[in-house]
Amino acid sequence: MSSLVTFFNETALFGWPLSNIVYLLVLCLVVIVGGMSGMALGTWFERRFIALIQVRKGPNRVGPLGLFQPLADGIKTFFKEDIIPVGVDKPLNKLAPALALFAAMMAMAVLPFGPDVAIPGWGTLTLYISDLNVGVLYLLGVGSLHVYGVVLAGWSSNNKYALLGALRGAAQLVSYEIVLGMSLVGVVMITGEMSLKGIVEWQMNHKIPLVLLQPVAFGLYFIAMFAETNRPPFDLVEADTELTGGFHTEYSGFRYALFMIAEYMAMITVSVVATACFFGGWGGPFGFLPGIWWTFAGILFFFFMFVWVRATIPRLRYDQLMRFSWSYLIPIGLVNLAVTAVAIVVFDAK
Amino acid sequence: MNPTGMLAFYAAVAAGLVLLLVVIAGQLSPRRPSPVKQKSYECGVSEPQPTEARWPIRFALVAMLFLVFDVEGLFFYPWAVQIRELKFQGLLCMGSFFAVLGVGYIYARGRGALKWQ
Repeated sequence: MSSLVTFFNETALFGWPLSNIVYLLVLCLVVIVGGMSGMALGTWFERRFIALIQVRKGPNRVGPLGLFQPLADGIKTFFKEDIIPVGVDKPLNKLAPALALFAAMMAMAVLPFGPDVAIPGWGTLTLYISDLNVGVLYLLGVGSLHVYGVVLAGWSSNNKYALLGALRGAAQLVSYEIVLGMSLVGVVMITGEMSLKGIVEWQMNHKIPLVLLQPVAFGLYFIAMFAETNRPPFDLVEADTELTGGFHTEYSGFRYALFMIAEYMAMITVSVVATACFFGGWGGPFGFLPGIWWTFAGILFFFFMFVWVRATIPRLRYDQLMRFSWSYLIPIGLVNLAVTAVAIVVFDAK
Repeated sequence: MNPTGMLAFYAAVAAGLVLLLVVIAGQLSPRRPSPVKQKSYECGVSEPQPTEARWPIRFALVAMLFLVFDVEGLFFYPWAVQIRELKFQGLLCMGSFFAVLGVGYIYARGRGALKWQ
C-alpha cells in the first residue's frame, strides 16, 4: 500500500505528480457527474413543482414520487432515432449540441461549491476545480460560448423556425449578457476581487452578504440570469407556441437531450454564481455556519424561483424583451455602477 | 498545479466526456431514414422556404451595439479591481470614458436604434 502511495507521489506525468493527476481527474468527474445528477433532479423538481402549482399530478409513476423519471427519460433518449433532415449543414449540425454542453460544463469549473477541507495525513480537498483570479471574466466569456451552440444549431438546421429562433437567441443572449456583466462589476468593485472564492471570502470576513450592498445589481443579475439560460419568461429562443421549439426544432434523440442538459447545467451555474456573489456563497449570508450546504440551499432557492417564475409570468413579446434590456436594464446598470464607484472612492478609499 | 493547468485538464475531461456520450448515443440509436421523415419540419406550408432568405437588419444593429457595450463592460473590470488604489484619478479617467459612451448611448437611443419595430 505504502509503495503504491510512494509510486503515485513520485511518478511525474507532464511535470505533475501522478497522485495530483488522479485526484484532479476524480474531482473533475465528481463535478461533472454532480452537475448531471443535479440537472436530472432539477428536471424532476421542475415538473413536480409546476404540476403542484397547476393543481395536477406531474410524473409520479417511475419510482417513489416519480424520482426515477429523469433516469428513464435519459435512457430513452439514448435509444431514440436521431433524425437528420435533408439539407442541413452536417458538421455544424453535429457540433452545435456538443458545443452547448461543453460550454455549460466549462462554466462549472470556477464555481466555488464549498470551503477547502483539510484531511489529516492526506492533504487538502478543494471543492472547486480551479480558482482562477479572473473568475468572473472567465464566467462571462465561457457563458457567451453558449450563444454559439444556439446560433450554429439554428443556422445549420435549414429550417425557418430554427433560424428565427437562433437569430432571436443571438440578439437576446448578447443583450442580456451586457446586463449580466454590468451587475457583476459592482460586486468586483466592492470586493476588489475577480476570483469567486475571493468574493465569497470577502463576504465571510465582513459578515455581510453583498445583496445588501448591491441590491440593484442583484435585481439586474436576477433578471439577466433568466434570459441567459433561456428560461421563461425570456424563452423567446424556444417559444414553443410561435416557433415550434426554435433553434432545436430539427433536433431529436440524444442531441436534443444535449441541449436540455446544457440548459439545466447553466441553471445550476447561474444559481451558484448568484449565491456566491450576492448571498455569501458557502460562507453563508452572515458568515454563520459556513459549509457546502449553503451552496445547495442557494441552488434549491434559485431553482424554486426559476420554476415559480415560469409558472407565473407569461412569455414576453420580442420587442418588449429587447426594449426591456436596452432601454431600462442597461441604463439602470450604468447608473448603479457610477453611484457605486463614486461612493467607494469618496467613503471607502484607503 | 496552477489554476490554468487545472482548467485545461478539466476542459480535456469535459470534452472527452461529451465526445463519449455522443459516440455511445450514436451507436445505440436506430437509423431508419425515410424521405418523409427527413423533410424539414413545417407547419402547414408544404414547400420549405430556403433559410438563406432575408432576415431583419435589426439583428445586425444589435450585434454592433453589443460590441460597443460589451467591450465597455470589459474595460470596467480592471478598473473595478483597482478602484480603491486609483481613487479620484481613476474615477476621473473612467468618468470621461463613461461620458463618451453615454453620448453614444443617448445618440443611439435618440435615433431609435434601441426600439424594436
